[in-house]
Amino acid sequence: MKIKKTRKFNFSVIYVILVLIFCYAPILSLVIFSFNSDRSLTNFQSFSFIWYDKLFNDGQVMTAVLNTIFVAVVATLVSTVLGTLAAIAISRMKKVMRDGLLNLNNLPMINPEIVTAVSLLLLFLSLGIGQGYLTMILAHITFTIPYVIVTVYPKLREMDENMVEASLDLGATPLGTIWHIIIPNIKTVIISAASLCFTLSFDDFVISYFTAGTVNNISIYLYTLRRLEPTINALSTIIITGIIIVLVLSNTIKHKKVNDNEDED
Amino acid sequence: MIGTVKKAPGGRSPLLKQIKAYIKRPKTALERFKLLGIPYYLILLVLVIIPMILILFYAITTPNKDDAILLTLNNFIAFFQEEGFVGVLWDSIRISGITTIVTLLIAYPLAYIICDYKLKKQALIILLVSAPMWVNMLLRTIAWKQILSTAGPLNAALGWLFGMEPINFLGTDFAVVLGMVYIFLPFMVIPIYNNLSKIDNRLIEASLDLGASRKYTFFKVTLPLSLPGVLSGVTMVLLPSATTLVVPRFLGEGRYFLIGNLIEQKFLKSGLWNYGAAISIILVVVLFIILFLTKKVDRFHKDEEDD
Amino acid sequence: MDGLQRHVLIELKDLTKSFGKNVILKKLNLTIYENEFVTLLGPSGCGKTTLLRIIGGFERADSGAVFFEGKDVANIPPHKRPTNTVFQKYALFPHLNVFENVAYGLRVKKMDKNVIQTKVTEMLKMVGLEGFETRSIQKLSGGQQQRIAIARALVNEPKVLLLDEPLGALDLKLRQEMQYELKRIQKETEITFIYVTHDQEEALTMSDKIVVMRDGDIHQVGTPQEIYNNPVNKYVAKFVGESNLLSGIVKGPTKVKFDGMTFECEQQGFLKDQEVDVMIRPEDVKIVALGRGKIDGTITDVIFKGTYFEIDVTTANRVYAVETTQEYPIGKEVSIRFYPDCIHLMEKI
Repeated sequence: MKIKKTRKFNFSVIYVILVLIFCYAPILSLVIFSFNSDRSLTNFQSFSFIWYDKLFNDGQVMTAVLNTIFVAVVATLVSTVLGTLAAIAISRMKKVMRDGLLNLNNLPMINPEIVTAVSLLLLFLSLGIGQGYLTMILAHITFTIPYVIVTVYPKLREMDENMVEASLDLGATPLGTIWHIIIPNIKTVIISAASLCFTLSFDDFVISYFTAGTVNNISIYLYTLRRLEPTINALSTIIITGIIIVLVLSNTIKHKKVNDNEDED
Repeated sequence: MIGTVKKAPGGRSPLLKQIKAYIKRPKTALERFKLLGIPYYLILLVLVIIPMILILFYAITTPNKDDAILLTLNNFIAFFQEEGFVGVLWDSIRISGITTIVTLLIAYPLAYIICDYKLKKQALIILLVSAPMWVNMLLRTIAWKQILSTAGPLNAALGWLFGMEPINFLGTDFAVVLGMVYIFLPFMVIPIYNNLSKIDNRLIEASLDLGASRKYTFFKVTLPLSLPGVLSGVTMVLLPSATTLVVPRFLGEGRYFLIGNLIEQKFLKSGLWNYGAAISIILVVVLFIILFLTKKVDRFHKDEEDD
Repeated sequence: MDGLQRHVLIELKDLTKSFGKNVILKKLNLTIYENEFVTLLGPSGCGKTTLLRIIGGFERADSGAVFFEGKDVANIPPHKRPTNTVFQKYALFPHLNVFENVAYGLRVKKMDKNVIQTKVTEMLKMVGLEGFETRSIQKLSGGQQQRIAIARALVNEPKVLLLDEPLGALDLKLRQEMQYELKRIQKETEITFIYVTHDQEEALTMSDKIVVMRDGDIHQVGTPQEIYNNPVNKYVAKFVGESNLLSGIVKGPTKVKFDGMTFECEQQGFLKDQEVDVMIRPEDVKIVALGRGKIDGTITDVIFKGTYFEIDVTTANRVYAVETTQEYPIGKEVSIRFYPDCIHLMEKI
């Protein structure tokens, strides 16, 4: 879809810039006011770190942050491993079974989050499992594992089917084949699946809110907060910095890889 | 032992025998690979399928004093009779409808414009548009709360520029829709962009070559071909915006009570699970109607493209 | 070839296989001897690849049995069978280099490092790729990848090498080169090769034995000469080489009638008045001066094929394809004739 247009060139550039400003203005405002010495959101009094100081001394926030990270790490590990194995299994299935499973897999992704949340809550209530870390982690696995499958599965389909058979034919066991042949070939998508899981779990609100009981994560903490203070801005700034670092790093690695390949060719 | 004639224990069904035989038979590698999915199949069964059945079960039953379970449609009826329900439903539909339209109006031109750019620039802009999704949604909503508050930067700027008195934007349709558009914009841009960028350039050139104007080409070629992308964008914005808890909480000043908030209230505050489950079922039904319609349009397009 | 002394390596008994409603193999029986180059020849969908995969252990037959040296191998997984496979698109491991690809099977068997080194080097030499050890797979040409795939399979010293259309992805010249190469490797290693292809030329060039398949059935098993000269039916005749195929009626032990005339042929054991298919190879049709042959016709097409001319002679009943080294002008009226030993009769199918 490319048409050379000379007319309206300026308008289109301005439009793109306006949308980008819309996307980043709130984020910028979060960051700027995190360094304000005053509570005010209009006047930037002077540059200070008092809200950061307050943030690190706020036990509740720190617990919420640690909980969020803990749950995200566990859910990511479990989802990535089980999801990858399942994707391998699904890729070897007959079409009918495969399509059925993939459709089922989509369910948690297309369902409104709140419905997934309610369904899990009802499950835990019916089974009489007390809500806490366990239920939260189970819930996070439930909604992240479909993303692992939709990320990993297409790459497996792309792989030459005979490669697996060749490995088996040469004497490797099925597990050896997974470890030595399949995993090295889908390494990159496994990494992206894991990072997707982590982000989804890290940012989740609705499902955690319904399944975590009294356990707090960052989102639940923010939602139930009575009064918003610029400590929130400080927290945002730290999270945003983390995201920027990850994005830049992953992009440089990607570029480096692309360049390496170009050099070799 | 082979050769000894032993009668199989009575009452064993042939299916069970077959399963047993299957388990005992040495597996080919292919069959062994399928076993790897067992933990996932269990997750699907226990944490996806059974919970969905549970919602349905709760929605059509009512708890009784004697622990008996009664089948009923009262939960659905109550939903439609509830005082203020019409308000909740209307607000949800109105807000999510406006949000979807505004998002579409912003996203389509953006996607259309960037399709003209060089591939690297396209990727960069898509990355820039989607990167804010990585920041916790609550933080982004809180940012708008700060910006829109009476003491916020927007009012300060308006006062400084036009000498206006501070306006409290919070609690208005404007604030709620703005917040939702902000949150859901990437979900609209990405599918439309993916679709537009895949349209074969030769089709547009062919249309121009056949004497059609740019405007005519857009409405007769580009727009119809991009419809599947638009529809999947609409699906990804419409329901989530009707059920979100976060935006009304922070930008609604307690004046907005949408479907999501209703479910939240029934479940977490009043403990009326059956009632809450019924509302969830209604949501799922609406979702599947939308998906069904989307699929229909999609299939129509696929048929056109493939055959 | 002294088939009597050979000992039987693989025996297939009543193999049946279907995928859903599609019957792929219909009660196949086949015997394969040691040190044989066997080709399974047939169009796509005839079941040849499925048969190969059953022998390799990648697929399980619905019924029937596969015997390796007399032992039923139904429950033996691929990696415990004395077979190795060369796959259609090579299926080389892209994340491993040439050496590691070839060494894969040996590493799995946890062989000594020095042994692996020697064996891999030897094998690379055999396929003519010494010095390529550290190259990345993606950097190799199609032909080189093909050789690596063969080396990777052969280094495990299988009793049988299974090859699934291994030359399909190569261009014509390379394909012909690899045909000789494969034959050489087979002779050198004295390993049984079971080779699947739909290319009759490939089959005729390399094989000791050709198995012609169609719709899950074996139509004929024989040496390339047998298959070419004495196809059992129209289908085999059509599939192996160009031919003129027509219907005829047997008129006596050495007489057959077609095109309204009776021709002398060799005795082939058919009953009088039996309907048969008649095959005459284009190179067996002789063009002679008008009136000198049995059937009169006109030259309607001449194509120069390098070493011979492909000529269409249009007669009253049909167009005969003729191959000859002599050129004729289009439009010339001629006669054609056949020697009795060139008229081959076949059972109707």
